[in-house]
Amino acid sequence: MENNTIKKTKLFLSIMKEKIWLEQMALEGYKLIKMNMGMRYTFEKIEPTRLIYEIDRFNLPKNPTLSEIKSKADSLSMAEEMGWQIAVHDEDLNYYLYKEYVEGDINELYNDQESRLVHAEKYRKRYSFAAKQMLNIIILINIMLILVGVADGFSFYKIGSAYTWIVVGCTMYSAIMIIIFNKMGDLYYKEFSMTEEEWLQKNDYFNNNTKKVTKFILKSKSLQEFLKKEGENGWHPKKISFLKYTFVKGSGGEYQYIMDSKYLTNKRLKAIGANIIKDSKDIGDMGNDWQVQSVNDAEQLGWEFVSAIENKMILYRAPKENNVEQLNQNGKMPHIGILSYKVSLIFIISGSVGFLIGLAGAKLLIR
Amino acid sequence: MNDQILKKYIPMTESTYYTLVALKDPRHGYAIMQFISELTEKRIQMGTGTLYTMLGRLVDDKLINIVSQDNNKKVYHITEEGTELIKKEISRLAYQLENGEQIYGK
Repeated sequence: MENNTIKKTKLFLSIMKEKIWLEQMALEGYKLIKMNMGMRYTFEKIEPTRLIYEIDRFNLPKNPTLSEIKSKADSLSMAEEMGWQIAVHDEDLNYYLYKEYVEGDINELYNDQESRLVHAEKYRKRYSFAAKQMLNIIILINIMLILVGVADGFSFYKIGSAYTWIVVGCTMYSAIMIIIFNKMGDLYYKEFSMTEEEWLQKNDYFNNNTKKVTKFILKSKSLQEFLKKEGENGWHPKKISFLKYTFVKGSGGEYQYIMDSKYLTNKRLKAIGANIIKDSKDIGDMGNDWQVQSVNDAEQLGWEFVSAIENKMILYRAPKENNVEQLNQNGKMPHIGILSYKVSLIFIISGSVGFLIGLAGAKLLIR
Repeated sequence: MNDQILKKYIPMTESTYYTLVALKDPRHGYAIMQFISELTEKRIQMGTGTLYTMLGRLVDDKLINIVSQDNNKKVYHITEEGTELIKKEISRLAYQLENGEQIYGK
């Protein structure tokens, strides 16, 4: 074991964070020389340098053309011409290229948006391909299960056999992997579509002007108190969702918060004798016409839009000193929910129907 | 001129435009980047990936071709079709400029 190498184990979900970490290691005087299992990084000691790392891959399409077959060799040789070197590549054939940072030079592999998107798409494709393979595995093993069932004459007691449970286990594993692959493909696509600076700014990676809080709040009264408390420490809500609350450090005084929903907006409209917002064609409850009305009503009274949760509700604020009129009578606010009750109803009904069919089918087979 | 090519390339992005301009004379990758950088006084710098994607596309559309190759270093040159295309774009840009100066003055 030489004295001038160190090893670190880290698992990165975000490829931007991995890139930034490798660059920080270089600033501390460690250059990447080996990588195992996508987690075990080996560095050698060098003079602290500012290096830029880029991660790229060379997918081969189904029916590659001649230029596509040569694309890896060609693009790597062009990269080398431009001063990039290959540090390592991993078990998934991702190539880690690096180059010294030179002021005024191009310090990216892809420095215009068009080629950035081409690069991002390579990663999305790689993960959608992996997801497709998993889907094929699910279909294959389920076909095998059916064939075994046919061969055995569908005897009911066999359903408890080990073979069936293995198949069920594999199916669930593959389904989970499909979801993971899709999420990774989307994440990598988003990250590669941005430059490192844009990503750092968007995620406020080095500043401490943003904070995310995970909190489970059901009652609107508790939300109001939560926002008030954070406001006292100088944190203003920028984005809210059912579980995650994003705050930014802000100057400016304290605010009061209210929320509005479709039901409350329609209640207001009914009270003044206007037509309520209703769309019989909107079965999935996906329309957001009510939000246009809501913003109108709120801004007229002096409320400022803060954030909206899909088409479910809107958060407004107004300076605490201002004597703004409440949007809804008695300051009533909606509860925060996950799904609209209509969609939840659809899930419950279809789930029960599916269960009943399965039960009936099983009963028939026992007979 | 192939209608599809015209639709695809006109109006032209700056990267495409300057690449075609740079390849009036045969050049290889790095030299193309340097030529464009000097010509535009460092305003346009082509990254590796950008240039690589660009050259691949231009070769596929037969607007440039590979005239020689030593090791993996390829030398590119504009084709007749490419020359026709860039000339069309130059006159389109001249007209566009004229319109703008008409309304907004020089």
